[in-house]
Amino acid sequence: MARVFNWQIGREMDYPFEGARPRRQAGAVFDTNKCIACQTCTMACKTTWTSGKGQEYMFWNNVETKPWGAYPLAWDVRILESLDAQAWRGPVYEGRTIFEATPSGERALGYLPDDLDYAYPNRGEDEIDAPLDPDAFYLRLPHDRWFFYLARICNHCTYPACLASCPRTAIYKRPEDGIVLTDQQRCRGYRECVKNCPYKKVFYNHVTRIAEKCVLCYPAVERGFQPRCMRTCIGKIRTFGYISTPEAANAENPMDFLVHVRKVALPLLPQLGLEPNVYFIPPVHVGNQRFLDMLFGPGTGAAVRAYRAAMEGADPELLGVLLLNVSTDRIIHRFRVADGRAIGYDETGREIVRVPLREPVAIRPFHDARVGAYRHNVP
Amino acid sequence: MTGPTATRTLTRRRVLGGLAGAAAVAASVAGCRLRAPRPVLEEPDLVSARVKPPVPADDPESPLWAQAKAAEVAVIGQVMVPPTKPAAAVASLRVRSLHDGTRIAFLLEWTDPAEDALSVKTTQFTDACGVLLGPPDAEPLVWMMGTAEAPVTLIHWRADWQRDLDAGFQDLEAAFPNAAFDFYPPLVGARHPLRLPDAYPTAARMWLPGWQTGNPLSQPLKESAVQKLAARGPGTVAPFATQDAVGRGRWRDRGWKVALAKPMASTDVGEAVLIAGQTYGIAFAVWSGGERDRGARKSVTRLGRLRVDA
Repeated sequence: MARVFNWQIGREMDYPFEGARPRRQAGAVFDTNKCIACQTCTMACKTTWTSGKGQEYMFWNNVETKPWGAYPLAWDVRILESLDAQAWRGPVYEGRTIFEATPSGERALGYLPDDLDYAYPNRGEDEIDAPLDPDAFYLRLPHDRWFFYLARICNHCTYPACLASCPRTAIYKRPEDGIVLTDQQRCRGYRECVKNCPYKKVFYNHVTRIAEKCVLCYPAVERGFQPRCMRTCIGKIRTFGYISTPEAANAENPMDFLVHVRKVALPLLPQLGLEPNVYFIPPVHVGNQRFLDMLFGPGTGAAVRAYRAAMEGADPELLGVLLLNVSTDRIIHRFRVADGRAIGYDETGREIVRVPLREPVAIRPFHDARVGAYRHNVP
Repeated sequence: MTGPTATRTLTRRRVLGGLAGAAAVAASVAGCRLRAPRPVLEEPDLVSARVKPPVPADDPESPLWAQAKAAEVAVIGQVMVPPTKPAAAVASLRVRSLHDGTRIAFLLEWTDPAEDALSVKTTQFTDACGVLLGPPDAEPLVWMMGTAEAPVTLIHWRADWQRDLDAGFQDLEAAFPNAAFDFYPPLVGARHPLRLPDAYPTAARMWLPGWQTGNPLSQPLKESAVQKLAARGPGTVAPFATQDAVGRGRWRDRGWKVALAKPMASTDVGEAVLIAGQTYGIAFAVWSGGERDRGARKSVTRLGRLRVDA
């Protein structure tokens, strides 16, 4: 195996191919605090890409409820269980990645899900982390139970396990934007990618008998538009753009600002070693710090503090960049906050969107003397 | 770009070492498990007998096969290229060959307790077999799917394609008989059952991208259960432009009997040409769907010789 540098785990690691980053890397930030699990993203993707025969069970985008939800069933628990201990020393991961834990004769550590594992995409939806106990739960605020929604797509990883696993190199990473694609002509349906993608975001088409995966709506991205799941997000949880490596971070780039400057957005299961390029702002209300650390790595505590501070008004820039989420269909390459407004620019530097940090508020008097009527909330 | 500039290499020493080790394992396994009346060859040493045309290219039960001398060949796991299959699915394989001056045919027989002829579910893999035809005096590296300098021609039979041909395309309902759905957007208003390929007009095929892009794996209408493939090393298998290999497999009495054949002349650049009186490199492989074999996860014979009778 070659040695490559994975900045998310703070060290070099083994990978079957030489490390060569794309010219730029498409990525996203999902704010878990704003997700309402409306599944609009899921359906936008479903109706766009996976509505053919043989794709019935496929959700290139899904929203699962943590801690119990997982699609396919227990995908995260199963891969973490097989990895042994996953210790961090500061920002450096000291355990093994799925490439370093490759069993003899395999190309990475993984497992092939059963069909029934895909049968419960909403398992655990809205379930808290323990059975409801009326005495402990009712009429007590804040209650001590929690859950949160985790929207997931293919992470278009810097070191994809699907790509590393394909004996035919039928999966490739585009040099122009880092999008990972399956060659539909070349694939022979071995399902090594399905087995070894730890996020389980490569799927087997029952009818065409080959593998398919999220294409990050590349036809839209090539034209400067965001993917469908991002554009349709009701909760406006999603930032889409291009992410740099830490040493090349540009504070005016929304992605770099969230991931590298404010460090509020964290990778999902960085210890697996894939350097995934979809990042998550961890939930601020989850009391179980160890669970968050397991899911997002060691930066969760600081991320939660920074996010809380921004929501309390201490960081207008962070607030501003998050308010730009889903404010336009176009990809925002640069942003700035000025005069109480967040402004987004396209690749050429042209302003494409401007949103206020505070929406104008008008409070109307209870009694309207002009018509001699009282206003109230009862319909 | 992270891509196919792989660092893995196959050295001659590694291949020879693997051959020696695998042969030792195979010999011990064969000694324990086989009750074959004929000796088991460590590598194929096969004569393709000449018969009057036509050869039984797609008839594994033809009495003509009695004219070919059967060879029982040891089968070993594939441990050279990951993903591997360390333990072979069978101890040995019985092979025969006939030719009629125009077409060369092979009969492969091996035990398999279960017929695996569906590849619809994520966890379903098909039984299959293949013949590797290499150049005369092939060097050992050719065993591993050929090399850039010495490409090989493969003829590859698949049980799932055979089922598609014999019983019609094995659609979604073959594995999920109770599947229910409201509608498929490209087929709104279409009458049920929505079976491929008839229910899918050309305009709707973009919802089945493998089919639309021409991937042979994804074509609901198969013309043969056998593919003619080219290879120049591990992971390089690609179908020839001309598909004229034929064959038929039959699972009976806990075993497969598969006849498969290709023209002796070539139709495509790089395809093996077989001339009567010459000797070629040859190897065989079988895949057990029940053991989730696919691709390099296969049981193989060593590289041996095929003499084509004059």
